[in-house]
Amino acid sequence: MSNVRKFAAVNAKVRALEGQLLKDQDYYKLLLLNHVDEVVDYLRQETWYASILPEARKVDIIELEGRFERNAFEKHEKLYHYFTDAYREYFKVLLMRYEIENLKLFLRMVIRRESLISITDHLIIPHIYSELDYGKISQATSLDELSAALAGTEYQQLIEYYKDEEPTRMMFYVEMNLDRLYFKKLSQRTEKLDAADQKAVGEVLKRNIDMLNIQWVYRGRRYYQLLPEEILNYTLLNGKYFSYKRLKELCYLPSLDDISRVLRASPYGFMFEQTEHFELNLEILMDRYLYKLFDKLRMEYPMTITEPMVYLHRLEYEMRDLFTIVESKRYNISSEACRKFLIRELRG
Amino acid sequence: MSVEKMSMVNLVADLALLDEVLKEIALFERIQLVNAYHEIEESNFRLSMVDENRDEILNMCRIEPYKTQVDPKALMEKAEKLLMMLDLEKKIDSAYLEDPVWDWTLERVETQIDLFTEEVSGAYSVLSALREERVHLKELECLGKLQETEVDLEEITTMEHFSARLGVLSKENRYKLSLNYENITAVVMHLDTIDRGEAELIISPKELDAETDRILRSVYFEEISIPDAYKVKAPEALRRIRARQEEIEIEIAAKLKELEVFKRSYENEIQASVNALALERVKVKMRRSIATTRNFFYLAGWIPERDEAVFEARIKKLGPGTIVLFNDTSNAIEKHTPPTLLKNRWLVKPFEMLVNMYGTPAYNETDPTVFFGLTYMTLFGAMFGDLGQGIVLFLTGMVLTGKNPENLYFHILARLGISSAFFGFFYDSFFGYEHLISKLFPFMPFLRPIENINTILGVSVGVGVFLLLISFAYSILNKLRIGDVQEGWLGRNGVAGLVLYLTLIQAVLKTAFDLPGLPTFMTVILVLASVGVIIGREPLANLMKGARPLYHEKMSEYYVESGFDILETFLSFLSNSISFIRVGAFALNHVGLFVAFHTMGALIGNLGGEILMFFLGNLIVIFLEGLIVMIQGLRLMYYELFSKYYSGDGEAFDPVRFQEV
Repeated sequence: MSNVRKFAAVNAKVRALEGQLLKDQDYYKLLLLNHVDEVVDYLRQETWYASILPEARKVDIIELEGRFERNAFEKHEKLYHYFTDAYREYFKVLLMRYEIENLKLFLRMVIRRESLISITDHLIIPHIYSELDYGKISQATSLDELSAALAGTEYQQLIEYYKDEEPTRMMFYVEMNLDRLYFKKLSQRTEKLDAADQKAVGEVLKRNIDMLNIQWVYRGRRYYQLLPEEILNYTLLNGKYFSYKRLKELCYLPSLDDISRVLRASPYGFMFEQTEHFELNLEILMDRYLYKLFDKLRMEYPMTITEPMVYLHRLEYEMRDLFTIVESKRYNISSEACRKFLIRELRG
Repeated sequence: MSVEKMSMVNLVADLALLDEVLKEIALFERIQLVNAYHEIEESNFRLSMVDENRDEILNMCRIEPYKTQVDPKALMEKAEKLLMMLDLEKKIDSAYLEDPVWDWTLERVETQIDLFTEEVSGAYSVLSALREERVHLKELECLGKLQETEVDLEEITTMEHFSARLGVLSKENRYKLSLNYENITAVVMHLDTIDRGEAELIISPKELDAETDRILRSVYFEEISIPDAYKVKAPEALRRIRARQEEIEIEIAAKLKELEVFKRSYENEIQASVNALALERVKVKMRRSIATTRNFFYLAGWIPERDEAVFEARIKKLGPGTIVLFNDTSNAIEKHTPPTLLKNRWLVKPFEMLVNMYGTPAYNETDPTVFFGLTYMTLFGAMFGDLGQGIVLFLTGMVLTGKNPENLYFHILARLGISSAFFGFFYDSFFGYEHLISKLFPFMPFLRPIENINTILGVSVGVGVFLLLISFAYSILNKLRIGDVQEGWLGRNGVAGLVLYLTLIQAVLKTAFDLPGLPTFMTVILVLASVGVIIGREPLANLMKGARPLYHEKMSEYYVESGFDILETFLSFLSNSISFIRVGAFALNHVGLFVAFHTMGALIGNLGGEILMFFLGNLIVIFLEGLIVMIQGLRLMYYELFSKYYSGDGEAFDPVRFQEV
């Protein structure tokens, strides 16, 4: 199948959608604003976001974030329809992310004994991918009920394995396993793509897996005292730099300091150099890294799946940056400080 | 032949009759409901002001949409479970509901289903347990691998300082575990490959149980329990497993027989319940469109006019106190357009699908199906004329239709085959061999495309012009019918356009073929006049109707637009007419392809080669050219003709049907 046939339509659509994204200038202006309402006004008057914001009405932060999220999701779903066969399946699995995020949320809420019914209406449910019975799930009030509501899905077993652990430990285990499941499926789907696409997407995926693996090793060791054997078994095998051998060495290092030292010397050293807001920054640095990687790959592999992928990531990052900006206004954080937490790196 | 006439049925009856009326409508399958509450709100709901209707009319002021209702979804799920337990297929068939014996109320259905479920579930749960045990035993067969070791399972599972567990790992995880054997404080013994993965026996020190558990969990180890009965020496365990397996098969067969007996005696009752539930679910949907007061309910819907009498009779039969009124659509049209139900004879009926693919005709539009069907068949036959291949297409179509009568494409294929065979006969072409038919029927007139290239091309254009003229007629009729003076009389697809087209054609004929025609000055006057009319159609139409303002936009803008429009009109006259030349071109192309295959056959030089090329050529031509010609024909229909006269913005008639919701 020729690449032009596969990607001409979707890439044209992607270009059009990219036109809707914010420019650096928008960021500068947004950073200088003082209040959430001003942000909303700016988006309404100057940007494409006008079309997803209600006209002339005050919008609170929760609604605003909900609308951004839904927008990102709808764009993702829209692109799905441009593909066929293996590519369609690939995009479908990408939608699994939303399901995974929902499940994480459910778990946290169940642990905190909050009612799931209150949030079910606001959730983004990827109907294309998901076959979960959200009606049944929302009735769950305990871990056991949640597990029962997930009967017959691959998630149930995961909860069953770890439900006797102490809650924060359990969350770590289950979240790690959910991510693991997602990335495993994504890897399988990637293998079905054409060679060039496989190479491009696979490159990002492998590095992403590296970063996940080392995070798991690091966190598992630092906060949850997992056994080396255990953590090694959880890691995903198809990373780029961290092969099984390197991971094994990493897992069996005697102390956390040793681990930090080795990680700092690795290609992902940049993630472990900072000390302030370690966890928060970890995510941002990881996202920035992937973003740049994608942008580079787009140049290397024109007319491949990279175009829609780059777009989806840019959209996602822009959404998160907007969250950051809005939250910074809410808590009166200076624009300079806020800028550090943005995924987009502004020049000048 | 046309669009079926619709009328609006308004029905009022005692609330007690609601269920029966809804059932009638669901089984009748000829009524498309509209929301009665909106109808009444907009005062479209008509009842005659006679004394006997007094209560119903008075009641209308306290009207509201139907509210309370229970969706029998849960009950349906129960019924489906029952079907599953008995291994029955759901059979949706209105015959159950029409038979008074099976016509059950929901309460009855519920008690019946509960009763049956209770009766069956005992046997079924035994059966499921047996099946589970069967799977379990199948997995335990892996213990047979320990036969030679003569190990006593009782002993190894009750060791003081070691624990032993049997379980499965996925291939991948087993590999992963094996990569790290040196660090694992357990003996991992691979027994066998079973359905779920790799069966492993794991023995580890009891003191390290917690760690071992965590490690095993990280590779998603799933334990297989060993029942006490099999905790003996391995060979004996395997013997017991085999013995139990034989027993289980017998027990399963017995249970299945038991269920089978039950199934045979109660299948009808169960299917009847399922049908009653299916009907209830249709009713739930229907109730959303009705309005009620304390005593009455109100219902409105579209019905084909010719079904009125039958419907009224069916409703009246239910009891006194039902009012059924049919309103002519003529005054309803302004409020909302009736849905379209096409009515065509069998020959062109399947072509409705192709028409609908472009768009459903509006209710007040002329149904183009007959014209479409006949023309499409003719064009296809003319482009793909071959007696032998036509017969092949026809037979293929018939065979597929027999297998799959629902699929209209196959019906169309058979019809196209006939047309192809018909033209093929006169083209004197049989599976690509010309002059074969003419030997058998020497006195028929034949027209071999390749020998009459100019005639064929000329006739194609002639036919095209003729078809375009028919399109003009359709267009004018459609437009005048909805009172569109501007486009009907003065538009480029209206009378003015037709005059212009005819004038141009006669001028072309006169110049090119020296045929008698209008004198030149007349031609010039007619062309100028019609062009003038088309350019100024909007102000002229407004003048005729006395409407103001004359222009709906700036005058200059209007004339610029209109000026380009006339240019496009001339171009499209030309391109639309010439476009039909492809009909002839494909007829030639068809022969040409065969000439190529015959030549290749001759080049191979032996009989085998000729036969090979004959089959290959025919296959390629039937599939490839057949497909191309189908598409080209469709293109001519949609693009050249439909764009002239057909808007297709109707809404298809979608009656309430008794089917799975």
